[in-house]
Amino acid sequence: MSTIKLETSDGVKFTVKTQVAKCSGTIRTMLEDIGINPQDGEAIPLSNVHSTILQKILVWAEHHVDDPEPPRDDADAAKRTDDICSWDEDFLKVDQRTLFDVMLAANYLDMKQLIAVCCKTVANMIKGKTADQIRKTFNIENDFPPGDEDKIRLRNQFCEERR
Amino acid sequence: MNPSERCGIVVFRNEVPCLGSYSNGHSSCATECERINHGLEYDERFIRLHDAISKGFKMVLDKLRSEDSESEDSDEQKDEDNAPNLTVRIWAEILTNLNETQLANARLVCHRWKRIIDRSPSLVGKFVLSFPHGTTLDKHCELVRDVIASGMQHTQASLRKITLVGAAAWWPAVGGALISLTIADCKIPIDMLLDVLKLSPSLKRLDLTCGKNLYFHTVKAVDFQLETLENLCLTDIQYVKTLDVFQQMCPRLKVLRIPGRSKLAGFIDKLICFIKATRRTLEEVAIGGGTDLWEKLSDLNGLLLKRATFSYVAPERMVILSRNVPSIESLSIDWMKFEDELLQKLAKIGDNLPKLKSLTARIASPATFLNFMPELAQLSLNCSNHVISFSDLELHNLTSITLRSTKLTDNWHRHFPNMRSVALIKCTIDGSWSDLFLPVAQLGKLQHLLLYKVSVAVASDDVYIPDYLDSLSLLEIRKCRLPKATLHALIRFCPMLVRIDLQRVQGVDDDIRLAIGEGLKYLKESSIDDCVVRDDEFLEHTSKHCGGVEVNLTDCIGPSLSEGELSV
Repeated sequence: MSTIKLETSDGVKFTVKTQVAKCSGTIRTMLEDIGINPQDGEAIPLSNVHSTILQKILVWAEHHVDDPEPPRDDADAAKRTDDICSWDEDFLKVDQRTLFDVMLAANYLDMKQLIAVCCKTVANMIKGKTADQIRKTFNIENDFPPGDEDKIRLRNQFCEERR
Repeated sequence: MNPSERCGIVVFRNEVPCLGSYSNGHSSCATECERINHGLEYDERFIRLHDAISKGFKMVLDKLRSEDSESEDSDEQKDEDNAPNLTVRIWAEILTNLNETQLANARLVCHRWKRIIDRSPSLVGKFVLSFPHGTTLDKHCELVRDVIASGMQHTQASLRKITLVGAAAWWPAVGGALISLTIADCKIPIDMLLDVLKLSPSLKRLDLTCGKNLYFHTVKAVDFQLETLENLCLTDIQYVKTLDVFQQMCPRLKVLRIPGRSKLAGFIDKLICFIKATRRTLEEVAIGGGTDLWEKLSDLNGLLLKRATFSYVAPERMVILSRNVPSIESLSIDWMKFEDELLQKLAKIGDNLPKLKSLTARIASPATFLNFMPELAQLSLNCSNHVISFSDLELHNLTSITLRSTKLTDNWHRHFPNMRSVALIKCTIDGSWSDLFLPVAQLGKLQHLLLYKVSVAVASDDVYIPDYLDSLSLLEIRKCRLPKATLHALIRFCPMLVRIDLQRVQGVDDDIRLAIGEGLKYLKESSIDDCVVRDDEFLEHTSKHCGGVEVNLTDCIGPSLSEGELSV
């Protein structure tokens, strides 16, 4: 079974099954289009990814390596966020910092399925909360001048009207 | 709590002043410095704070510098204590998972989120732009300026009871990207309406209630076409010229709806002319009619309609129409006066329409004509308070049935082995609730059951349900006098429910809520008397409820199915 080496930002080298590494669009492009030869033994540098995060991402990729291609989603269709599989749900039970690091790395590595499931997880953290509770959850500061929030809230009422 | 107050609390109470809040924005930091310079007396603290403030300023400066060069897509900011910030694109993808109410709420969180939402066409597309009734919209109007300032490119708008002034000047920035537009009871001169439409080049759907306020007296020449407009609904037309104008404007209509009957002179001829002009693209018509219209329409060749709603049409005429338009897949016949006569003709209509998949009609029993509609998947019947009989039919393709004002007797389920959705509206059961649930429970593939104002002849608390409804995922009951014990039994026999919606059902009380919370393992959403609870919130609610703690339900929104849809 062919393997390739990946080197993270902190200099840690990982030996990974090629098939698993190809869950990443970025690595797949490197191997298939640019023609980097994994047999050279030279590690592919992933300068934006820390070893702890890559390790986590590889666990995910190993589990999902045989997943079929997802159906192309319809942008207009109402998205569901209650369909996260229980393995992913457990996998993403991490602190917010790790979750966001995984998302940034998945973005860099172009792993659409992983990003999608992370996005659903974060969306579930937003749903059912007031603006103030959302700010607390994500440590965001309310940077609206006093009164502006009420103005937006008032405008929202008219934006939300259904047909 | 305003930002300066919050910062004040953090700085004075914490040993290490919070770096997190400094890095989040410069305005609060400036407030902080003023406050500290003016009000601090303790030296040791001052030094510590001073260090922190210098550090804070450095971070603010760094941030300002990075903001200068920051592109929309790469404003990551790293911080020792906080989670790293995600890119605009990732946040936008997260937010696509929210519905319009959650999204509107997310706009309140901070400038950045608001900007991400307002500048994303797919997120803004979930909102319907509208204004308070009675507003006069002109270029000085604050609401108009707000919309322009936000940069939101709305794709849906609904203007009701609005006065438009000088729209040509400001419309492009407000409605230039609209795909769907509803205008009702607005004061708009016809010239301005034409300007508005001309300046909405992407429009696909237009729903216009004309009324007396829309003057078509002095129509200037139409010098443009709405190339993308597919779906047009014109209500309450007061001037026949309206049809002329839209015929010139709409070369590629797919759907034309003109509800109600018009007594305007020359209306029918103009309408036939309109339909003739668009017949190559027209797929759906829903028009009120009159004998003249149906006569002229059935003489028209080359119609390729797939869906049609005909009102006030005589059965004999309906047969001719069906012969001329064999492409029809979905047929709705409204306000039929000659019920018995229609019943005889329906078999012929079925013969003429080999592709018919969906039928809506008002009939009397027996429904033997269904033998001539073998492809039918959806059936909606109004039996005007008569008993329905399906004689010895077995309809394998039928998966969805809606019965209105129908008397149900035993064994009606036998005719539909593959039924997935049953809606009973204002139906009466010749017996007790057991006589309703006995046949329903034998529809082994049933996924959706709706009961609206269903009543029984024999009121009794005892109910017998022979089997689990273990395919049922959605249960909706509105305005039914279901006794508590019956409701209890029903919930117990529907273990796979994903959504339950009970509005004004007699037997609902805290015990029933508890039974729903405890017994239904797969429930994702429940709506009980307008209180909507979803997902984890729902679990939280039930767990609190079980513990005897009172729960305040704040997230209340209206029922998904409007009364109007049900009472037709």
